[in-house]
Amino acid sequence: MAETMTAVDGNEKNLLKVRQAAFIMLAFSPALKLVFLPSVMAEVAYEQLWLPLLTSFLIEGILIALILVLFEKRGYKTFFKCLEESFGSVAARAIYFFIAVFLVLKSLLPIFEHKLYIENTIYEMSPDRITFYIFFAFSTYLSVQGVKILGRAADIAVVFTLLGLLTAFGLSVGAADYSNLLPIIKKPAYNLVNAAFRPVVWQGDAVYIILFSGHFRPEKGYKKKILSGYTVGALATILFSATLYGIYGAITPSQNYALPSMSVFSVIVTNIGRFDFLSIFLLLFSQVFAVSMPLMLAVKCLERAFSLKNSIVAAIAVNAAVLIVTAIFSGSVFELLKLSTDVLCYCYAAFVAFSVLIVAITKKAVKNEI
Amino acid sequence: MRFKRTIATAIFGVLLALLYFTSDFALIDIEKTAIVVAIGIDKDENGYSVTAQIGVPEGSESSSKKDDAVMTGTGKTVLEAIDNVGAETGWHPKLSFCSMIFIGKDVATDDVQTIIDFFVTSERVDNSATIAMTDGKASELLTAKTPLDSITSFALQKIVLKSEWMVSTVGATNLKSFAVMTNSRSKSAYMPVIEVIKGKVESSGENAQSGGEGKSQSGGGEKKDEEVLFDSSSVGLFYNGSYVGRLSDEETLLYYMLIGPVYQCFIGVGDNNEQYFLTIESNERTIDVDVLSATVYLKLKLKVSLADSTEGIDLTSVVKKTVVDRKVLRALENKLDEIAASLSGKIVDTKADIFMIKERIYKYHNSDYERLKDLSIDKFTFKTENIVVSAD
Repeated sequence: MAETMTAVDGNEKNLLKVRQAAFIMLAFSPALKLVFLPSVMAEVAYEQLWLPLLTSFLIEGILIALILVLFEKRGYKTFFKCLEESFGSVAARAIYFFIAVFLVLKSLLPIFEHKLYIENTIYEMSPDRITFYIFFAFSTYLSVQGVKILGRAADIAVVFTLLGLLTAFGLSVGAADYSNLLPIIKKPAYNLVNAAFRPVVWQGDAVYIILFSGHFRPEKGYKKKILSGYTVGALATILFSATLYGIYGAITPSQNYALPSMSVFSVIVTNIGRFDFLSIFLLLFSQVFAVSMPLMLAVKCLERAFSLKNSIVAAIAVNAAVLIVTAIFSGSVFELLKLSTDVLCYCYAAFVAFSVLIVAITKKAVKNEI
Repeated sequence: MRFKRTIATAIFGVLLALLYFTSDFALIDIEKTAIVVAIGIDKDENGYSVTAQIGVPEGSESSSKKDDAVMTGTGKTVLEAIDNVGAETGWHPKLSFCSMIFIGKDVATDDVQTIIDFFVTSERVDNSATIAMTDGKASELLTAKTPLDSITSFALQKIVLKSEWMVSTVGATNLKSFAVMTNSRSKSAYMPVIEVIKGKVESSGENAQSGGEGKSQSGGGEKKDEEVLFDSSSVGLFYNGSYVGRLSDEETLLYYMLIGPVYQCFIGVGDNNEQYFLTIESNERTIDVDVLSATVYLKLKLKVSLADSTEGIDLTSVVKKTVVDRKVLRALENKLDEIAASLSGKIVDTKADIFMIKERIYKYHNSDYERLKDLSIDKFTFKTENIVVSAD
């Protein structure tokens, strides 16, 4: 099997390893989801916030498994090649363009979150704008690189994320009263289906897997590895959200920045100062890559859609556009949050489902291609 | 090419690290910054008055100067008053090191919940900051002189901020726990009440005294009129965000025994002829709610030992057991029964659901919550069953 799986389409020098694809799921997912998401879920589902989160992650996990199986049947080609072979070049380019638009739109809220997170947790007074806008220089640089750089970043970020999460959990678990999550079983006073759509704003890992297809060399047990990475990231998000509710109970929705709010009650923090900043910095490192990833992938999609020989123009255009939007709407973050969780989450979910459907209807590989 | 790329990566890495993660290396103009260690909030004719106590490094000023390191600002809201501290004094009040907030009685009686909710969401002060209310003005508390520490709030911290491994006869309440309690279904909370005791201890110099039967006091000092002691042996009760009453010292102690483990805790029992001072070794407690009859059962099992007597201890034995007379144990049970009755009466009178009964019903008897949620806590029956004191 291993020998026949070398038929990876695309740039052979720019491949992810399966381990790195799994680490991307594990390292970047919790870093992105442990800012606003826990408080948003607490606002709609109260002590049962873990249930819609679990539902949402479960559905996305199933989609990821499905995508991996579908691409196996398509000879591990890139999504673009599958589209090209099935629907022709124009359709493939159009779909890639729409994916790019989706990724740019989806990146907005995490970028705003990241900005507020930096400004509110690290800085005593509001920092100069340039402090945050340097992020776009970094993101532009990352966008012109191949996906291989994401893999390398994930190799390092996974250590940072795990250390950060373990430190934060160790500091906060003592302050949590998990009885705040009771009653476990009750008739939900909220609409579980609606609540389960909210995390979609921060998800989209299924689309990343679609785009990574053909960019990693499948190896034995690769599906398990990628799904394990996703599962650990998802469980960490659920566990931290539940712990935040254990600490703050009914006032959890007021705690927009989950991690810094959780660990301040530790005796270590009381006695030796803000030791918890160690975990915050570690997760911020992973968050920079996690927030940049959709922009980078959007640039890659535009590169394919318009057959650009050099991605620098697309990288500058995408990042400049997002920078301008960030500058204009920096005072309307919570309006964007409301729009995203009330309306856009359904559009994003429809787009992810549509993408998986497209993958499903592309031509299967003929036997000798596999 | 590869070399250039590495250089570019390094430059971006350094730029990000410098501009992003450093918090400007926390470089603030220290000459214009006041590190606020405690604030007191009072009502005044304009709205609120905020008194900020500044941490002054040891050895940099004389002790008497440090006592005066307080700034005051006034405003229609607490935020405005805090901002005015800076505007009126020219110092930037840095609140991230503020670990204590004192609420004046007038503010507590009016509406303390709004203020606490403001702090919990403002990110200005850590949610772990301890809060306590004062018997009078919070500003008077912060400007009072005590020989225990040149900075009053540090002295107060010693009695209010006690960890579990220290004496747990003072219930430390922080911003988060108060906000969680008041925003719960019980809408009730508590916080320690700090009382200023003048001229009680007549020691001299830097000596300080503390202790007493179940009391937490600090201070003492020279024979100066202005030097004071502090007592925080009782808690104030809050319902719907406002102060509604206060437990006595004994009620407070029993309340702590019923809501959590107590350590290094003492209780006295006896009459004029015989007095016994007992150490509480362990306290098993249960608060049960019978949702059918709307009855709350308070159960307590205490294990005690003699605290102030070595009489009867066999020094040649590994196990050091003191013998406590059964009649002393029964006397303590009766005493606790009486205190429990008066504690229950106070809960009924004030409607402050400090045992979080409504919250318990929601968590553990959820199907009955809808039926009982509008039933006021004074309509519940409180029964103290099974108060058992043993010495084994």
